[in-house]
Amino acid sequence: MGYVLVVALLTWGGVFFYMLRLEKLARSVEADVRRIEQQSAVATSPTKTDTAPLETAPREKELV
Amino acid sequence: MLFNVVLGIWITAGIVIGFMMPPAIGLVHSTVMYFHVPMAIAMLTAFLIAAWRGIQWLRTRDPRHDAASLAYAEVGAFFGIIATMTGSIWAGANWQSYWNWDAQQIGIVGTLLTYGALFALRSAVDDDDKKRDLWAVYAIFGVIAAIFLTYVFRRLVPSLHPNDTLTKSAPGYRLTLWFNVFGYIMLLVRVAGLRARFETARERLKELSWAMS
Repeated sequence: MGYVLVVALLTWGGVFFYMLRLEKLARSVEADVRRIEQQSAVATSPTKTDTAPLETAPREKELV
Repeated sequence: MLFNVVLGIWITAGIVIGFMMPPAIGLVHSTVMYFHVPMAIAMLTAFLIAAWRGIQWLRTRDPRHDAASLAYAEVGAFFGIIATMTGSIWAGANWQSYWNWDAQQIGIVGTLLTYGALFALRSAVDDDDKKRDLWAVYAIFGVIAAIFLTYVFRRLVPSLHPNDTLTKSAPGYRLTLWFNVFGYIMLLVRVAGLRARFETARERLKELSWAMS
């Protein structure tokens, strides 16, 4: 009976370490997703050079 | 982290207590029942949650529900395999035969084969949304089949499988049984939740890589 108990505990240990490994993997992939989302947000955010209407507004006034 | 620690201690304690309990009345060996019965209950719970999350996908179109539905079904099938193996060990000790085509044995194998076929059908569809829609229907069908095959079938035909042996025994047996049932349901929620989180993040990463390329 002692031998079977040891086998049961070792099997449970294997499942427990699989669970810890899965958690580590999930956190790692989630961190990658956040990093790429932040990078793409920075790459597509508006900058001063994109604000064409502000630059053209005084010229329109001059024409009038 | 705290949940992992609680789970680790809870299930280890459940295993040790299960092995320390004397055999239940009328049985030669009953230790394995503290693992077989909780695994079977956790399996059905997993299939019920899988069907519920499938319905949630159909209602909300949120892919996290589909990932959770699949994860619960996969972990439920794994628990079903362990329930079958431990049931066979119990049959070997009490019926002097590991496999004798009892209605309960046929029922659980039928359930596992049904889910095996459903996983194969899901993997055969390429379109993601179609795959998720079909899986939601499969998960609903699967849980109905599982309830019939593992709970109803053995009550319709002659079966050696005992009912309520531990729940009708002394309080110590019942406490050990429900302690283990609760532990394995916690394990189910933890592992299926992590698998769903991993799968959702992996899908999102794939979408981002595709959008950036």
